[in-house]
Amino acid sequence: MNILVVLEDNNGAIHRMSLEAIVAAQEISLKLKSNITVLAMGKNADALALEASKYELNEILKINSSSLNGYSSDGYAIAIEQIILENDFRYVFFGHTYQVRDYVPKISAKLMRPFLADNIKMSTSDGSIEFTKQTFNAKLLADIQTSDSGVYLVSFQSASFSSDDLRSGSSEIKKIDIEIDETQIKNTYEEPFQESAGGVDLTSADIIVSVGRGIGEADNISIAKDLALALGGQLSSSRPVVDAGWLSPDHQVGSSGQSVSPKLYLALGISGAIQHVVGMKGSKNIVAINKDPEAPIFEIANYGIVGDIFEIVPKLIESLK
Amino acid sequence: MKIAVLVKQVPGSESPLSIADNNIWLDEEKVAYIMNESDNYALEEALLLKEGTQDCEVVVVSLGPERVKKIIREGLAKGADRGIHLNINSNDLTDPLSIAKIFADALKSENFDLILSGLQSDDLGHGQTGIIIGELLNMSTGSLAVSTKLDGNQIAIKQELEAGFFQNVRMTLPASITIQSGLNTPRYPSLKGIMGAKKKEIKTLDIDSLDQSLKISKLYLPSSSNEITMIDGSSDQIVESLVKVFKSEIKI
Amino acid sequence: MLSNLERVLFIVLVIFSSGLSFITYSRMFKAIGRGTQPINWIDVVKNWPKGLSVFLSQRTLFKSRTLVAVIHAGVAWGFSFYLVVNIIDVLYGMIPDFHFLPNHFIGHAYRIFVDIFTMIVLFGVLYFLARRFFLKNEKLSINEPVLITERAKKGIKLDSMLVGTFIILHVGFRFVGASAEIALNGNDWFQPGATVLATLWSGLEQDNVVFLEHLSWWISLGLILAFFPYFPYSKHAHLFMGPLNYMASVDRRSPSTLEIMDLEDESVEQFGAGKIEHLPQKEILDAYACIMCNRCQDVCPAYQTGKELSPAALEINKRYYLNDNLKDFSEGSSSLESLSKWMLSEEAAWSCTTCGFCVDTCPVGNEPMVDILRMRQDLVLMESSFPRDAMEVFDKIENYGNPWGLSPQDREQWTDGMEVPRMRDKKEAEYLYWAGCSGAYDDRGRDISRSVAKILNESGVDYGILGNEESCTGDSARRIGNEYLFQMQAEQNIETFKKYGIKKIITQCPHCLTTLKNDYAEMGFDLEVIHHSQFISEQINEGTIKPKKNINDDYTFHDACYVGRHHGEYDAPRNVLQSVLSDEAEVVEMPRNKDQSFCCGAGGGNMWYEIKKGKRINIERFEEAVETGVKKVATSCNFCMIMMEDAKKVTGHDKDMEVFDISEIVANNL
Repeated sequence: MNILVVLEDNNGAIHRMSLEAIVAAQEISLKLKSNITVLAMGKNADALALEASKYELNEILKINSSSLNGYSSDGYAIAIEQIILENDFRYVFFGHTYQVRDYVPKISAKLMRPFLADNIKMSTSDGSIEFTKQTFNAKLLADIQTSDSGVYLVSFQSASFSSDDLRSGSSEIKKIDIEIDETQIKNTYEEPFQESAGGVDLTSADIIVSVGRGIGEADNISIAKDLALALGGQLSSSRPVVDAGWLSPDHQVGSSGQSVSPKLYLALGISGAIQHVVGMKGSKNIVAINKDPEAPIFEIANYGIVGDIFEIVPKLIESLK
Repeated sequence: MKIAVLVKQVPGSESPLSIADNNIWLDEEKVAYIMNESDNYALEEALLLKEGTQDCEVVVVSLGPERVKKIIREGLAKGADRGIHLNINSNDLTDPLSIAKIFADALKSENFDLILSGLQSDDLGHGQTGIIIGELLNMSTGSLAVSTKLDGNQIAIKQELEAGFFQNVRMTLPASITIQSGLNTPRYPSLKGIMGAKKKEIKTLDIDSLDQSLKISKLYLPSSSNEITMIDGSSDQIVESLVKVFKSEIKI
Repeated sequence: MLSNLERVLFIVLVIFSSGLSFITYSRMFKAIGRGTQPINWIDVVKNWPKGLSVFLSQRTLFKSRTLVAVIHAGVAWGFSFYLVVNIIDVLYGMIPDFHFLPNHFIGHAYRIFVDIFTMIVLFGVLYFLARRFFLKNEKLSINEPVLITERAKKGIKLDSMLVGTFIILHVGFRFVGASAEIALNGNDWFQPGATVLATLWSGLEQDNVVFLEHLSWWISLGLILAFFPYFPYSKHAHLFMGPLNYMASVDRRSPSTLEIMDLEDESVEQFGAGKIEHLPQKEILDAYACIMCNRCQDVCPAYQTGKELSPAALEINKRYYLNDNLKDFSEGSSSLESLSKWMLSEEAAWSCTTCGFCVDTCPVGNEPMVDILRMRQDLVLMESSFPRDAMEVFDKIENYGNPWGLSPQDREQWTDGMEVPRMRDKKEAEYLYWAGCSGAYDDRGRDISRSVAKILNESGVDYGILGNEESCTGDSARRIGNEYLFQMQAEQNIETFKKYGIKKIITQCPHCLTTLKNDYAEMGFDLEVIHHSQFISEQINEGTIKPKKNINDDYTFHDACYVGRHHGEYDAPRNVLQSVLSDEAEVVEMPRNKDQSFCCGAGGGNMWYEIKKGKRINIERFEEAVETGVKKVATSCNFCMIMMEDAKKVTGHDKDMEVFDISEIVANNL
């Protein structure tokens, strides 16, 4: 079967999540006989195609169309729809990025074919792939089969596969032309921008390092800050820390603070009182470090360490560097 | 101006989730249903747009069995003008494409200028329905909007990107836009609103069963839920184990 | 005594004063009449014994400020006596050769009392003026950040000065007049004071003394005629409006149990109070009874910790609003400004913990807390303007049946490992044990539930629990002002109670206690509800449980507002506590105990949202516990427990002090 992997541009390099999608395709090809094609488009199509040529793939399709130089959901959807219609792909893989969420549903509508989004696992059966995704705020998993004969659009959750597992090789780049009717591009886009860091928005954080009373005093919070930095995450706290004035109120997680559900919630010196727990129990993975083995936090944590945060955290920071 | 808000009724975050005997959906008996969170923000956004626009009608639309009338009433209590209940006697609606088609077919004749819906639903979380509907109705589409601004026959949105980036996008109406949570403060209905909602119109359209190409073959609990793994040893050993957990289990 | 000209003049002035008074007093009563829930004045008048008793005994003042109460009693009795004096003085002036029983012992007794009371009143009023203007007693001022207009602040001072001066001059000149009469007619040792004063006039010519007598008469009685029409604008109206307020008092099941509103009634445009005319007539009457003494503020936990709320300011602002707008308002114009602009700020309204102390302590029967509850109803039901955290609590109660928003299926988890009978199995039982939401979900709350269940099991009493069939009583919703949500919850629970034929309930949560007992009764469903402290105390007295006197540590006890002031129970928890204390240990009371107890700060919805201003109320209370020197604090309420535990941590007493519920202490020592 033929699998297409669509590459997303990250400033001239292939986006990590597209690489992960390639890994997924490569894994499938180990189990089921398949051909892997990747698609490079946009203003950096040449660079993306070049980078892709070092991986074990069957074909690299490259589109250099001026209509696609800037991202537009219509433009990308039209282009990929054409590619799919002109070829016989069984699956089209994407990384589940914000950009993919923006345009792939349009392809689904155009082709009237399903888009299985945000999968974390795959398994093969009967010559087709069964995908697994998280549902109900990650409390349950759902398996979805793909036994129709038509094409399936599929995206993968960040880090479901690892770019470490990419198999290298070499493949040919094939330039293709497509027609894009510019009048179909309905939106105008400005350049992406970053906002000045004002206020802590924990709700979109993937990794949170959180401190409770166990941190002891205001000065000690720096080790948590350093850990957050080392992990690429945000700093938050339980209520008593805010009340004591050691952190500003927008750091507070809990029933009267923010509700968070990051991939990793690292609770340092937090006892786990209910007012705090209701604000973070949706976290995908909770790691708790606390001196008290009876602390309620251990009832909801996935990983627990009974220990001294002042001994463990500095060493952890060192190892992460 | 006509704005449609698409709302979905989903199990609340604290609702018990027991799996039905057929293992492909929930046992509905014990579920505590609420309006999907991002839809609530979409509703508020629509009501704010209505407040800022002359002659604007907000219509709340929901697909599902009889019980979804409750969230339509909630929308009416908060200030929407009327509701449409796409009545389907089915509890496992899992395919966003066919769901979107139902909405598109039912709403086509209404000629909405703007369709707002939540970014994704807290049950299955496909996050596509609003955009597919827009595409099927040949509307402009936008997603992950954290702010909206009407400007004549155009709408400008601020779209959220990864890593703290944003992008301003402009499109001509009609448009279908999915709304990110947190962009406004959803209002609480006043008593007058609640009482008044009882009198507002909810049109019921019966939908025959649908043909879904995306179906769940198995719904189950992740194997290692609620079981804590204690990491012990000397602090060095602990740190080593922890880093390993970060890399291989949690994948960060 | 008076000349004919004087007599005529007096009659004219009486007519003039009466006419003016008629206008001002009828405006005052018309203003009261603008309110809702009409007062049945016939019933009020029938209640005269109550008013008279409050007036004569002065008992309501002795709840606080004892010295002031004593002096005020003197002034009040003196002033009452002067009613008779004024009448007799008028007769003396108007009827030629009139003297009141000059040789009869009753006349003598009368004159002695006049003399004594004159001294008392003069001294008393001078003391009060000195207290306000020279000693500048801080309790008489209302501090930032409370909303109170400059007009009111200045007005209070001016009013005090005017009234004080009026009384001093009225009584003073009457005294001078009496001394002048003595100077003319000879010493009267039944009026020792006046006789001594008369010596001052011994050097004056007769004509001048006569002039002095007439002048004094005119000033003394003229002031009455001048002031009488002024009373509706002065706090001095409390003279009669205070007792009247008692005669018109509303019979509430509990201080915070308001009447049930029919929310479906389409003819009702307004729920709760957004403007002054939305308040019941009784509560407008409150403003006229208010003596602006600030006792309510002294005891208000919000005011005492620096919040915007002062119940005193509430009533004072109300009174000054009425004063400023009396003519228009009494004639029926609707008020322009909403209450939140001038009576009480929105933040102040949310700061109230409904502890009930203001209502309890008011000497004239005012209920500022009720005004606040009505304002909240308006803010929630009509304006949709209330703290964000409160909104989340509403959603959680509505969707999950508890304010924490946790799974309704987890309500029975606290029974794990225990034998606790379920109503769904038993089908009926003598008592229902209601654990409540805190008792089901909070860690310490669960400890309490387990302790109570253990005691119940030990006692052999026939009981059952609803477990997952319990749903929030709706207390928080009601106190925050969401009548709609409260009624929904009540209806749901009442159905469950009917299903099992429930008549008697035991609960550890005082908020559930008051709601199930009082608010559900207002909904039309009567239940007998007792607090777990009362139940445990009964069982100890009956011998069905035998706690061992094992505890050697001293304890201090924090009275929960909703068990104490709202429910009237102070002894049962102490009895329970004593039952486990050995002879070495004792209960050390905090300075503010029993009906003087200082709120923990969680009531009135504050458990869920917190008004972050000033000092935290729970810390204020906990510090009081710390100061007793005792290391163990006993409570009898889930919320108080949570507040005390929280304060314990924040004040750094996490290691050296402990907080226990009385049920836990008993259950551990059976």
